[in-house]
Amino acid sequence: MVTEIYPGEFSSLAAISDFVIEQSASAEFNPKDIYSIQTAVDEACSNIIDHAYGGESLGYIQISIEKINNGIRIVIVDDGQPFNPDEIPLPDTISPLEDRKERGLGVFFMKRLMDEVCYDFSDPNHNTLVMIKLKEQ
Amino acid sequence: MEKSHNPSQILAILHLSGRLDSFTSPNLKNQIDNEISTGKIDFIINLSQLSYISSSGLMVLLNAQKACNENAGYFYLVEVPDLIMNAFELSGFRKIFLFCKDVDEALELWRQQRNGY
Repeated sequence: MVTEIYPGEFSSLAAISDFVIEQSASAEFNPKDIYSIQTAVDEACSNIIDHAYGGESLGYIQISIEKINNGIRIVIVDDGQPFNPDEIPLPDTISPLEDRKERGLGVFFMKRLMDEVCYDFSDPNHNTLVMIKLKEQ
Repeated sequence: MEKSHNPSQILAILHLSGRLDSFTSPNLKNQIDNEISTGKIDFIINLSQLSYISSSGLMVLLNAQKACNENAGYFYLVEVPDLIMNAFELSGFRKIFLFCKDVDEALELWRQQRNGY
């Protein structure tokens, strides 16, 4: 397992993606899956800054990546306010343009692109997000 | 992001590169707002050098499309890389935008639609 810690700033997102791409490639995912994993982590980290911390430079983002049997397990930890994306309505991907609401698209991407997305708020000091991506059999 | 020269007062051609994420999307939004404030109502956005787009980047493009609709303008996305097209597909945005093969194809279509330029 490899762990990196980043400042909770949007300027960290490029370095976070580099780390995720490198680890996903070394786990031998195909380019499409690597892009999917990159998206899921990027959206998760953007949400942490926006919602858990409620702004930039108010905390850290810790990312651990572990190769598991036929896939990868990513654990993202922050110490902001608990933010439960399950309470966000899913985005509207069907309505005409004028009716679209700007919410929930990032979480929708995470759930659609990863095999497992699980939040743990049981530790009062930390929020933990676990995401798993498996290779196609 | 660089701006191509074009003879029209109403068309802006923007070339995006690198990542369009929560960090960089505000820059694109500002750039588009600036173009609109100087009288541009039509946009050709070239995504060929874009390596990544997040939901925040997609929302900037969606809002730009909305602004174009309100101004009776035309909005074209060109040379969208396959991996990035998947994000448009997944979000349901693919049917909202007009995609062209490249800038030349978009320009030709734009000339027909604006017939006179």
